[in-house]
Formats: sequence, structure tokens, C-alpha cells
Amino acid sequence: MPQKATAVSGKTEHIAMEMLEKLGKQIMIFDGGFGSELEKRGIMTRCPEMLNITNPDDIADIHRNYIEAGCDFITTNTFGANRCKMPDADLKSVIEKAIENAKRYRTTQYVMMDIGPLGKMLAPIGELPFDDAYEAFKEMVVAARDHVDGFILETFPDLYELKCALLAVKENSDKPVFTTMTFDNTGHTLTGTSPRIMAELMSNMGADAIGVNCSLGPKELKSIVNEFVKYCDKPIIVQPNRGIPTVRCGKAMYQLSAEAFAEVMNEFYEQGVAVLGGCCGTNPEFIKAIAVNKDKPVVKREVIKETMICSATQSVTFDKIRICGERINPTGKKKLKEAIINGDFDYILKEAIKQEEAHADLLDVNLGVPKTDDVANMKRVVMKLNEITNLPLQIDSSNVKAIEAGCRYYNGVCLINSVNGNEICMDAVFPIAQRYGAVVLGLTMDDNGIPQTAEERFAIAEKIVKSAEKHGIARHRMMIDTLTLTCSAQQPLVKETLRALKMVTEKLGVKTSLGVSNVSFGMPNREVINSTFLTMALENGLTMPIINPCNAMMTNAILAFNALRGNAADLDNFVNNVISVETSTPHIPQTPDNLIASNSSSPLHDAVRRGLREQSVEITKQLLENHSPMNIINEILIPTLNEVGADFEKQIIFLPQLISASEACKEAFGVIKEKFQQTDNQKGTVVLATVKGDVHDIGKNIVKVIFESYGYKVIDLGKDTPKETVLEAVRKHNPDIVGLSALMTTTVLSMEETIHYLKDNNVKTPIFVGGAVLNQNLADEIKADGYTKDALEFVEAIGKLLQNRQ
Amino acid sequence: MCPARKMKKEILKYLGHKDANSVDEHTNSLIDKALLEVEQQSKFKYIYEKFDEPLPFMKDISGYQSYLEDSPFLLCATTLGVQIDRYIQRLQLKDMAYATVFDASASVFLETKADEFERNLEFGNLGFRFCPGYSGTSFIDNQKIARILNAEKIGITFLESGLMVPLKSMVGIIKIGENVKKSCGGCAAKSDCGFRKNGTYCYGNA
Repeated sequence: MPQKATAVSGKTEHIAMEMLEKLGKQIMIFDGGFGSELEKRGIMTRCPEMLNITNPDDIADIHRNYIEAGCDFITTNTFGANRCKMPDADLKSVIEKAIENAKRYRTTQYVMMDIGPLGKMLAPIGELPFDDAYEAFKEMVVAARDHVDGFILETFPDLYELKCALLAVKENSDKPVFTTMTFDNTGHTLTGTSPRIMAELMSNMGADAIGVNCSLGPKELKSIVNEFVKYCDKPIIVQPNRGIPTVRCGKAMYQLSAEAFAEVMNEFYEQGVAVLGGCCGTNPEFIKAIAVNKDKPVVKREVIKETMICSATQSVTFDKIRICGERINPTGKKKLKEAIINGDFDYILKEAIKQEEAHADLLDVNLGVPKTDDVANMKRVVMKLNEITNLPLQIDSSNVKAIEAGCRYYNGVCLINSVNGNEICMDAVFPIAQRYGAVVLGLTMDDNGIPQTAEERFAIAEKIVKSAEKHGIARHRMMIDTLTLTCSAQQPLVKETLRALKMVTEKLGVKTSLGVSNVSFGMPNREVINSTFLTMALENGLTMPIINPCNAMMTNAILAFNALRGNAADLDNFVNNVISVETSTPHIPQTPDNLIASNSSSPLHDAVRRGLREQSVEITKQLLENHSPMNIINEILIPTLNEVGADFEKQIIFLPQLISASEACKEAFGVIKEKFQQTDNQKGTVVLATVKGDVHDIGKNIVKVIFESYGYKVIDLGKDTPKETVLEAVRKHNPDIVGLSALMTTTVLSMEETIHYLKDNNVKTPIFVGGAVLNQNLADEIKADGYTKDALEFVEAIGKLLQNRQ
Repeated sequence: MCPARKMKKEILKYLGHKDANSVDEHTNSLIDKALLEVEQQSKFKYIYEKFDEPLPFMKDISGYQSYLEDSPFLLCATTLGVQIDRYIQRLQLKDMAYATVFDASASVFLETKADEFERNLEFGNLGFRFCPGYSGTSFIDNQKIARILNAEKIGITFLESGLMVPLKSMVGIIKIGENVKKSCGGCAAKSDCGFRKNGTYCYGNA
């Protein structure tokens, strides 16, 4: 991980310290809009940053007007001076010139290096890797750090990109850094982040001022500012637009007067906002109007601070019991272990979705399997989870590097599991928590193991919390686990865990966690022990049980506890959500043995055709008691799929029905495979990828389902796949076929490149292509070995090809 | 036709149905669910700007000339936001059939919302949205339009390949004026339009 740079010249460091001393105590004024000033001068271009070089006098003059209006901060004209937006420019010169222009007329003002978003969406939703974005921001920071007094990261719509930019500043400079995002009238950023979530992450990571810019007019920003006022424990900065523009003749025109603007800004001052400024449409007149508040003491405000973890879109506080889903942890889970070893990340992601749907509040992520690269795996899984779940994550590893990878690439405030009372462990983990703004779970054990008594465990908890505070981590960012022991081996110690829980809750005032199911190892009827222990722990103050949220006994115990301890709403909640624990299996029609041969009247045929996944699984299990796997596959599953395929061709059924049937069939195959590991029921191996530059993967995923339904093994390389990854997969898995997908003409070029690359590297495996713009001619042109118009035709073609080979 | 029914008809077209009556009960219920969820998950944004003269990138390109016929025009950019992309990724792990229906529903929803937004604009009559990439116009012009409108402000970004993120985004040109009509005859893509060849329309009952 990058090392912090300390190269700061003495003079600018002094100015920076002076700024921080004033910040949050006295009202400070930022400058206003820049674009509208350029337009006024008739010099607005698509790349205003180049004006630093071509029109330095104009730029310096705009800064001077703001200085004369009374601002304390001058923002450099460098918003888009990054390698993504200006790939051909000499960025260092542009930035240096911009700073020079900003300094030309400055007297006492602080010069702030302006950094805006890169204009590209970060992977995995876009294609810009987090590390590349980091380098782009770092380049700007390094060019400016010795010449400016601080940084302002502004107008970010995406929390992940803002986190990346803030890391680039904090890891390469010691100067103060302010961060602002844009919010819309829903009270969220374009990517769904609330002011509270932004404030929590930015504050934990050490931003010096936090707030909102651009977005809307001051009046429309009121509720957003209110949220910052309530939850942001750092000085708040607000830079609104000049109201909402009205559109005249197709052009946006700002109408709000400087007085009306200042009136609302004055309300923000009265609420405790510390830094006031303007954005689009505002000019020196507006800054002059708000500068009447300059140097006034910042109004004191009450800030709500409580233990909170969050993703970019969802936060969890511990005002009630929160379930941490334990399913993504390989201990005692054979299938998950295999998935991690085989790189089957879809399995892990599906576990996440299952737990979210079972009402988990956050998810534990532990990928520690011997002889696997848990650092790389943690990075990859966390980034995929950023994309597919809104639940916050608990990054769980005994490897500090894996913890750091998880924290660095997580989009939000994660919970680190864990530290213990060992000094070396705390010295390694707390700085990571501090750098990435995480909350930390402390285990009440140390070099001597787990102490027997509650008092000793409490003493360790106290030591951990105090050590955290020394590292700058406030108590609300700490949680404690008093460690569940197995009742079969250490029965007297179970109550010590509970006593310690109570002591930690009452005396330290921190939230608590327990891995509940450990208590019952080696016991019969484990669920009874687990759910009883859970209830006892809840009564002693447990706030975050780590359990399987899909286990009804456990979730019912929590519902019941809340109903008995809580209010009328909790009682209703129990009545509405309690799950009957009698296992209900889907209604399965009788399956007399003789029906196996008569495909069309087989219940399995019917279930697959209708896309009934659960029924298909149950019927297959039943059939396996009396029939051979090959019999079921050849007599029912394959004929049913063929029938479904024929109906699709004839347009008797359509795409959703074809996919549903294929998915049901895939599930049935899964049962057969699970029960008869030795059965060689795999027809062949297919490597599938959506090519580099293309993120439309729905077509490829349809192909995947159809292939799997026919019993093929599919190696799915995902979307935006580099050619090198395809080659690596071909070498590793030796597939029978490679299938490449592309949606647009532009990405067909990337497809062609991939094909050439594979062939140049002596890949003899046939390469098939598909996608919206492909046809046979184009496929021939790019030297593909085959083209099919849809998934079904593809599977048929491969079937024939493999048959001919035999 | 009511908007929901019209949307459903379009979604079925995307899913390969030629006839709306051929839909089975299950797919029908999936579409109903998808339309509700698309509405919940999306963050519709639309920006535009009016121009009277062809822009430099349009000059000497017959596709633009034949579409615009010297009319003033709007450049527009619209999107459903990035949450839809995340949701589609999630659905694909859970239920591919529904993911496919949801994907088609999101596309139709964006078209419908954009139509609805445009109906409330006060520019007289509007032509179809024409998206560069057809009739000799370059796909890369989409990025030029997005830059002119600063579409980044509503979250529209481009991949190296020119594809848009969020996936459910559109950038286009709409001619305006009293005599303008929404008809295939005025479309720049009329010469090589697959829908026309099959006797249908790209969307709606034109």
C-alpha cells in the first residue's frame, strides 16, 4: 500500500496549520462560480483548464474579483485537470500555472487545489479500475502539494470515487482537505448516497471539512444541510448553485438574486455551518453578500454520534438488534471452501443475496482458506459485493493484508473483525481502521488466550478501547466480542461470556457482538442450545449476533425477544414475520417408477417446463432413490430441454420461459451432480466471456444458463474481460469451446483482437462469437470459428461439434 | 392505449413476441413486477439544450442533414441511473429469466419516461429522438453531444469503447418546429431500419 509523503515546504505547512486553527471556529468564505465568469468574458471552452495557460490574465482577474468580494479561499481552475479528461495535456504545467494564477493577487487567502471527478465510472459498474483512478488523483496531488494550502475535492456524485480521491490526497500530502458531493432533490447523490453516509465515511477518514456543493439552490438544499448539521462532526461546507435555473429558449438561466441567496446562507450560518461559498451561476456579488458573516464565531451545534457502519447506500446503527450474516465464512462450510478454491465467486455472491433476503443487516466476509490468495480474493469479492448488495460488510480475516485489501476497496464504512488485546495486533490493525475510516471489533483475548472470568475479559476490552482512542479511533467506532465458548467443553465459562457482555455494555458503553453458534459444538440439538443462548445474550446486552439469518429458529428468537422486551410495533412485527419452523416441502406429485420412461407425463418434465426450480430439485431427489442419474438425464431432462428448445424456435414459448426452464433443469442437474460426484455427467467445458470494453453481459449470461442446463461446465469470465484473462482461462481449463460476446460494433474490434491474440498464442480450441451486431459475415471477417444467432443455436452447434469429434 | 399497456406491448416486443396476446401468465406477472421495481430503482434524469444551427460535427454528414432539414433542434441526454445497472447484475445471479424481463422493462421505461418528459417541453412539435450511429452518422458523436450538454452532471459516462454507463442511458437529437412530425419518413435511419423492414416501428405506434 502507498506510503505517505511528507514533502511539504515549511511556509505552506504553517499556513495550512493556521487555516485548521480557524476552521470550525470562525466563519470562512469560499469563492463562487467559475464557469459563469468565463462565459461573461466570452472565453468559455470545453476545456476551461487550458485557459490557465492561454488566458492567465483572465483567470487571475476572476480570482481577484473573488478576493475583493471577501473570500478566504481561492479555488484553482483545475477541476478537470486529470489524465482521464485531458489525456494529451501536460497536466503538471496546467496545474502549476493554475496555482500561479490563483496566487497572483492573493493577500491572506488560502489557495485550494480543486479536484473534481474523473468523468469515468469506476469498475465494476464502469471500467476504470480503482487503482488507476487513484493514480490519476495522485498525479494531481503530487503536482500541487508543495504549492497550495489545501485541497478541495468537489462535485463528486459517487462515494467510491470520492473515497479514492481522498485516499490519494491523504496518502500523498499532509495538507488540509475538504470534500463535497452533489445531491439531488431526493436528498441523495446520483449513486444513492445520503449526506449522513458521506459525512460518516469522510469524517472517519480524516477529511477536514465536509459538505455539499453545486446540486441545487440554497433553498432546495435545506434538508440536505439539516442532515449534515445533525450528523457531521467536522466543520460543514456549503456551496450552492444560484437557485434552480429556468430554461429559456432551451438555455438554462439563473434568476436568484444575491440577497435571496445570502438570506438562506445566513440560515445555514445560524445552524452551525462553518464554511460558506457558491457554485454554478454565483459571482463575486454573491460572495460579497455572504461575506457579511465572515469571521463570526461558528454557531455551536449538537451532533449525533453513534456506532454506525454503512455501504454507499445503506447504514446500520445499533439502536436495535442487528444480524450479521455468517454464511460467507468457510469454517465448517465445505461448499464455500470449494467455491473459494475454485474461484467460483458467483456462489459467494449468491450467499450474500440469500442472507440479504433473509433480513441480515450486515454480512461477514471471511475468505481464509489455506493455500489460496486471500488478499486478492478479498479485494475481488468486496468489489463485487459493492456492486450487488446494499448491506454493509464485516471484513473478517486473521491476515492483516487481507483486512487492508478489504477496507481499501470497500465502498463505505466497514466493520473490521478483528483486533485483540495483543499490542502488535492492535498496532497493525488500528492504523488501517484509521486510514479507511472503519469501525473495529475487539475480541477479549490476548497472548495468554481467552481469560476465564468476566472481569479479566472486561479488562482486555477496556485496554482495547483505550488503545483505539490513542490511535485516534473514538469509542463509538469500537465494538467488543466477549467470545462464545463451547458448552460441551467449557460449560462453566458460558455464563462468564454473558457476564462480560453485560459489563462491557454497561461500563464501557460500546456495542457488542458474539458468534453465537460456537456455543453448541459437539452437542445434540444444536439449534435449541443456540437459540436459547442467543436469547440469554440479548438479555445481557448483545447488539450484533453473528448468525445464519436463514435459520428460522435464530431469527424467530430475536423476533420473540423484541416482542417481549419492546413495544407494540415489535409485537406486530413478531406476528407478521415469525417463520413456522415445521419444514414445509413443496407439494410433490407421486412419481410411480414407470413414469420415468414416459417423459412427457413425468412430473419432472412438467416442473422443468414450467420453470419450477424448487419442485424440480425435490422431484429429482425422489427419482434418484430408484433411478440412475444417466437415466434421469437422458430420459427426462435432455428430452424436456429439446422440447422446450423446439417450442422456442416455433415461437410457442419465448425467452423468459426458455430461461426459466433452463434454470430449473440446471438445478436438477445440480442435485444429480451433488449426489453422484463420480458420475461423469459433464458434457464438456465452455469458457464464456464478454469482451474487453463491453459491460453488457445479459446475453452471455443467458448462454451460460442454457449451457449449464444441458450439463456443460461453464467457466464464466464475466464482462469487460481482457484478452490475457481469456488465454489464461483456456490454458487452465482446456475447454472444448470458447464463446465470446459483444454488443456493439465498437466492441467487436475488441472481440477480433481477442481472437487474434488467442490464435497467435496457439489456441486451437474453436472460438464461437455472438451478440447483437454479429452475423456470419462479420464473424468470418474477424476469423471466428463459428457464429450462432442465439443461445439455443449455440448449444446445438456445440453438441454436434462434440459428437463429430467422438 | 394506457401507458402501462403500451409499455407492456413494447417489452414483449423486446422479448421476441410479435403478438402481445401470445404472452403466458407467468411472463405477464414478471413484467408487472419488473415495471414496479424499475420505477422504484430508477433515478430518471433528462437534460437538453436548444440549437438553431447544425453543430460542427454535423456539417457535411448527410444523415444529419436529411433528418434535420434545416429545423432547429434539441440535443438531449437521459438516464435511469446507475442503481438499475447494479440491480440487473444482482438479478442475473438470482433469476436470469426475471433479469431478462427486467432489462427489457428498464429499456422501455426509459423510452416512455423520455417521451413523457418531451411532451411537456414547449417547442411546438418534436421529431423522433435520433441517436447517432445510423445512416452514416458516427456512434462517437454520442460522446460529443454528451460533452456539449455536460451529461456527466446527470451521471452519464462513457467507456473507451463508446458504450454508455449507466447502461440505461440515451443521448440524441430531436428536431423541433411547427411542421415537424414523428414519422418514419423523417427518420435518418429509415434506409436501413430493421423494424421498418419487418413492418413494425422502433417504438410506439408511430
